Amino acid sequence: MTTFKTFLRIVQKNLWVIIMYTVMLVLFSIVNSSTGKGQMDFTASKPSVAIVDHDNSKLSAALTEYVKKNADVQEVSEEGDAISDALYYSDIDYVIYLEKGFSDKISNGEDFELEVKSNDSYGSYLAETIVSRFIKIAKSYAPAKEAGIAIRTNNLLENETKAELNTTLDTSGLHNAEFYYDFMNYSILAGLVFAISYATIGFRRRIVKKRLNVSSTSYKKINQDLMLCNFALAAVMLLIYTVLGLFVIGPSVVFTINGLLMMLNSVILTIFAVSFAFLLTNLVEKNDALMAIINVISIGSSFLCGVFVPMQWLPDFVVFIAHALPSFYYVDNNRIFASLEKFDGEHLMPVLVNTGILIAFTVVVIILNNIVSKKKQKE
Amino acid sequence: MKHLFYNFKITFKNVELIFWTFAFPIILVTLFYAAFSNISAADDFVAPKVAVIENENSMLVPVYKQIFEKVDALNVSYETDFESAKTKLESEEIAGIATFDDGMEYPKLTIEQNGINQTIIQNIMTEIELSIRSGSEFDEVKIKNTYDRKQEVSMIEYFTLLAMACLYGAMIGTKSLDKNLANMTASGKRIAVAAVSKTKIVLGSLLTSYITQLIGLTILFVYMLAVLKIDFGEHLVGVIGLTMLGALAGLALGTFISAIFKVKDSIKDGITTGFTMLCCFFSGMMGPTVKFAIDSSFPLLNKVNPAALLTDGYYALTNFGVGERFWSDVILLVLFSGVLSFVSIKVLRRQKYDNL
Repeated sequence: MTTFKTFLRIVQKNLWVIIMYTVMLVLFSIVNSSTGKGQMDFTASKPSVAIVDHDNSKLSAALTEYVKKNADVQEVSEEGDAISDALYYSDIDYVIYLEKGFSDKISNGEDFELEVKSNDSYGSYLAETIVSRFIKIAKSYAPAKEAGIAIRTNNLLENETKAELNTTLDTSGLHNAEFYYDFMNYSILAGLVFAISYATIGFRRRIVKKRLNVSSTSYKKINQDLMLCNFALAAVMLLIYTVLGLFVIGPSVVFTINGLLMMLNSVILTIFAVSFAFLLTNLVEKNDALMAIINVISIGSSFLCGVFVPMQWLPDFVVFIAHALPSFYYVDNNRIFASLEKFDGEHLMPVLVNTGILIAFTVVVIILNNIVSKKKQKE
Repeated sequence: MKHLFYNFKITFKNVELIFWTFAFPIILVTLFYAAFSNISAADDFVAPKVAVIENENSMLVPVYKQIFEKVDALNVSYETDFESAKTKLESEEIAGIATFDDGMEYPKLTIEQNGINQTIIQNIMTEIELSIRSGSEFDEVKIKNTYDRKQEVSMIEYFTLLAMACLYGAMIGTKSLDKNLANMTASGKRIAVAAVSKTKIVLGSLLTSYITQLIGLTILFVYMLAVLKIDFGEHLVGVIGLTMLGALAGLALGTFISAIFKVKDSIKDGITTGFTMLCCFFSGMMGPTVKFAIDSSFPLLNKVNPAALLTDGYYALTNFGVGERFWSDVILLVLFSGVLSFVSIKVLRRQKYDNL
């Protein structure tokens, strides 16, 4: 109990670290979460589009209406760098400028060039197909009166190729869950490992160690108590993250088999993190050095293993290096869980391999920990 | 001069300090470089794969086949068995399956998940359907893109990294000042009773910190430019000037933390690291979209965030040149440094102790 109380006192002093990384986790997940939770039917991806209508005609209104049906039309100020900023950060994929005379040119069947601003993303490609489809069809009815063209174009555009989903999974929701649990890799490796190491290192200081050595409590008992404290802190943190996940991702996703598997995956990573934090405290004596190592490892593994940058965008040599890091197997499991529908041996095999490797990393860390611990005890 | 020499000696002997100032930003920028070296390929268009299930009884399959030959935006393959195509769909080898019923029925698309590739397939298939329904081949629309993207959005990460390196300079500032404070270190106590000008000593310490920071930033900058070949555009002088101002903001932050928080050395380091990482997070270090979201939703937050001001300053400079936005970032950074320095001076001025 004395060990636990002391441990808790040190953790309390460093509570801000845990809070900081938790805030980051929630904010990052909210910012990166996509809309469209709980959709079981085909839902077309909607590019973000802005329309600057200087024509204000029936045809430009009809085009705007059609784009609104198929894209997220956003209001954006024409002043300053607002449009450039939005395109740069991909908040908007495509800006359409409908200049004065747009309607007349279409009605008269004249050839014209449509001015746009496109950031050349997939979203912009999609936006371009939507806009050009409307204009192509409208032009095919020219020459005619503006109102007639608008009606006939709209009538034809009511037809579209039907699409249906082969899956019953809420893929959008699971994608958000994947983001959340992936970022947890950073929060756990930075926040939890720091809190645990910082508190445990307090017991490793030479002067405290000497006092502990002459105390009636055995070294083993203290180590066991410390380990219990570490796991208790980790369990509380995981519980908080799970409760926060209910708000960020939604209970309908968290309590699916896939959501629960992601949660279980995070438990395995946490066990690794606790063992790793314990090893660190055996290897490092100074708080400054501890902070440096934790920062490099947490940020490094998050960048290399696809937490901050999706794995498919990473170069091959980075992915190859990432195989040497436990975070890789954690993130890869989340990726599989986000689309896993069949839970048979064949489909679960990659998950089992990844989990096995993650557990193997933990075992290696525990063995190393014991070796270092014994060596230090002899000293 | 003597003070400067000893201060340098003390600073460069501190391994942890040298790590945070010199090594950590270089390790991090190398990681960034590794992670982002392929990022431009992420938006390169790759035609989504779609399998068409052949049906001899459909009159539309030959018509679609003819049109597919002219469509570059789709990668079409032909299958006879729906189940084998479905296996490919489930393993994400293809993004969609187009099936045709008998007669003149238009095709139906089967997909595994909602996504941009699936939407592209559905869009193109719709366009073909509309063209067949209208009975005419549509003319292409001429489109002129007037947006000139000067750099990849991943440059924001490098900007935040430079900002982080500037703000980590706060650690040097804190340590330099702490050793002159009687309530913090033994050397501070000695300095307090010594017959030397305290102003000279403190200014000497701060100058050493600033020069050390600039040395660290120069190494980082040269590494980014010469080794990693990161392109900062044509306003290199402006970028260097802004970095020097950032280092000053870092120094002001360090002085402020040293003056305000009467806590242990390691806790001050924790405050500096925590504050810097949080500032960098809001500036887009863990994803540029975070910066845009904060700028749009809580603009005031990033107006008082030195890392965001630096990041925005670099962004403004490399995208729009020296202009109103750049100067506004510079002024806010000067204000940030000025306010922190003013408070620090107020706290540190004429400190006298009866006992310690």
